[in-house]
Amino acid sequence: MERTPTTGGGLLRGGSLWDVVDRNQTTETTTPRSKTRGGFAAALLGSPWAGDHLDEESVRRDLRRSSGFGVTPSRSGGEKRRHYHHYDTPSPLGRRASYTLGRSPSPGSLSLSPYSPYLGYSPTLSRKFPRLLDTPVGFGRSVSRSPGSYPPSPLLMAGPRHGDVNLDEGMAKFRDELKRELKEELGPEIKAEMAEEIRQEVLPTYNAMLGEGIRAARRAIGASSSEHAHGSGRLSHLERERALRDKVEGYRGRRLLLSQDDLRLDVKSLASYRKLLETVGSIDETPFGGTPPPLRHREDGREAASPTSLAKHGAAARETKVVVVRDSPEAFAGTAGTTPTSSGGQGDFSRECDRNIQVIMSRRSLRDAEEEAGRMEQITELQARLDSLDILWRSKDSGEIDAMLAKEVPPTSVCKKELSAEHETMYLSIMGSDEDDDYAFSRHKNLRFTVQDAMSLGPGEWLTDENINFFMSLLNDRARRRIEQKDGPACYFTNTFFLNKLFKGTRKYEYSGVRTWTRPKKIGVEITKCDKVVVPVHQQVHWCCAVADIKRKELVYYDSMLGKDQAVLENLARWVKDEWKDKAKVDLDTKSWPRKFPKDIPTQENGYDCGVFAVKFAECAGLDCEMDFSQQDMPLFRKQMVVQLKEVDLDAVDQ
Amino acid sequence: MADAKEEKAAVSTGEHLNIKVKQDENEIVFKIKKSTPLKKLMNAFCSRQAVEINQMVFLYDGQRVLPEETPAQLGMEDGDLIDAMLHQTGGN
Repeated sequence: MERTPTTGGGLLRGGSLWDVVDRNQTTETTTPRSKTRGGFAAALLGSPWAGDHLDEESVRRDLRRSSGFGVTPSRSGGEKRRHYHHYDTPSPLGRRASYTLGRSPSPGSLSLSPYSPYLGYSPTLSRKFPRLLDTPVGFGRSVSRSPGSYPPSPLLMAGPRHGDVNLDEGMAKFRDELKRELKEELGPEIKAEMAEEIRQEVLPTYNAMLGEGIRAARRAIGASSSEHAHGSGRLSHLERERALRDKVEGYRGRRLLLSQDDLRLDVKSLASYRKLLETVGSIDETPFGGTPPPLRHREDGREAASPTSLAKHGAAARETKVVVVRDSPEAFAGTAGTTPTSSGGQGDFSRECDRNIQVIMSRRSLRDAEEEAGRMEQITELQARLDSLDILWRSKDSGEIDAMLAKEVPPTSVCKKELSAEHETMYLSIMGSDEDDDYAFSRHKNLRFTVQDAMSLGPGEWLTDENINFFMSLLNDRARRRIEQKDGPACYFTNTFFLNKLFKGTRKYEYSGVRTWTRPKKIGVEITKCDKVVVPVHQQVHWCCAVADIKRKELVYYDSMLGKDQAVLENLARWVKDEWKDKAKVDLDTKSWPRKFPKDIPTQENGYDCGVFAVKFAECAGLDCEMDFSQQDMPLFRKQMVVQLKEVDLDAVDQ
Repeated sequence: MADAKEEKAAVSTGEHLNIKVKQDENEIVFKIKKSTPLKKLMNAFCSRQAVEINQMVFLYDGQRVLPEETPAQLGMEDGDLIDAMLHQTGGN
């Protein structure tokens, strides 16, 4: 208590958040539970994420009867994790929070309550899901700042004694602070997101316009050259367009739009197609309104020649455009896009028309007889153009897309895509789940992904064997699929207990202990046909990854802290030798294989992400790809893992 | 396959197996019916070792064993070994 920054421990009958924080971080004493009573409301009021969404009344009410939300031990708290004492607390706002009190598992690392203001504080989440502002976003302990650097709570500063707490002032101050922070932090993010949304909407808009353009073009052709109509069995452009759009949708659905660049390229080509079609399609339209007189009524050239009578004779303009299209489609394409609809371009367009009409008239006086023939030529040309577009689409359809559909492209690197909105929601609902710790979101083989497992994937949490084994099992699934497709290196991923059984548990190498672990009928692959065996390594409080590369004849140890454990590789080498001798009757000279401890790998910059690094090392080894990720990607990987484990599919986040 | 197993289970119901449970160097042998869920064995082992059951992981041939599974379902034979492992966690 002496260490707390508050001026009065009796402020809110239970001290404040800072009490909890300090105690958690620095002491190993048992937690006096009563001390935390009332701390949460105080913490919430004093935290920067107590913002607009916080119901002031309810917080006040909770403050008044702070004994209403005490701390109760969770049903399974403190049972599974040896290091922690877990308590579940109904928060003042009705959400569950799991937080840890008591001895910190690693005194060196910081260990804080989820109610700390900055823990896992995510502007994006809060914005998207305002309700989250009143949930413990950290989902547990997490550290992004040292507690010393927290701004002292104005509430606490303002209220020296119980009776003197000026809630309004404290709230107002914090709201202002929160607003400023939101503005500063969210400004660029919102902008980026808007840009993204606009881009997302470009495609459908273009598609719609495209459809219209095609319809207009068809009308033009159909109306003026019914005798030239092609076979009725021909797929209309609109239909084709729709088919294409479906394809594009399916294509996206199947994750074949590999990058956003592809999408952009598609949009670009659609845009140019649209422009082209508008040029073609606007033939049918009279730019200045009115019904165009039928063609045969237009023998009177003089009327059409007069620029002032243009408005009455849209047909002249229409004629003009046809000529322009024929003479210089490229030159016209620039203005055509805006002409039919935009009134601003009308002036330019009229002048353009005038000029063209004069040209036409000079020709026309000589070539009246050629007119009809010219028109037919025109139509033929337009038809040809549409046909070529047809071919373009068809080639795109059958050629590229089908080829891509035929073969799913296997991932060649770890996925760093942000979660989709759907998965984001899934993630939040998992992390905010009110179920029991033991409730399983998903199952795979005999493994379960429970609430407790999800919590240990929260920001700043240590990963457990459950998380890693589940992930290894999914990696094995992926590897099996690739073995079947004969695509990429054949890999087997052991579970986290493998090395413990092999030599760590009894401190002496014992092949017989794991001999039966790798039987083909148990693991679904023939281990001796694998190019790589990937082994997660548990080092007391640390996760690493070791790889026995049979093909390259080497043993590699990946440690995000760049540690070296010679014993792991020695025993692994010995196991490879024994295993191959036992199962394939092959004698491998693993003793001579180099042992590698690469230094140019992504490294960990905190005290809790090693598990994520370890699984990503394993994934990269399985894909045989560059380890092109870093500490910055870890929060995303954690979120991805939650979704992957829930969906029981590694590729779930790759869409 | 499943039928064969069930048949086998039916045939050998009432038959007892000796199953070893081993944690590091500690080994305990249990006699258990083929049709009894292994939960019983796990509980017995944990109380013998004075550990909570949810601190332990049980593996048969490296594969996780669920409490509701029976030796018959796993195709266990007399003298087979179940590995008991402590849960692991790590961060730095």
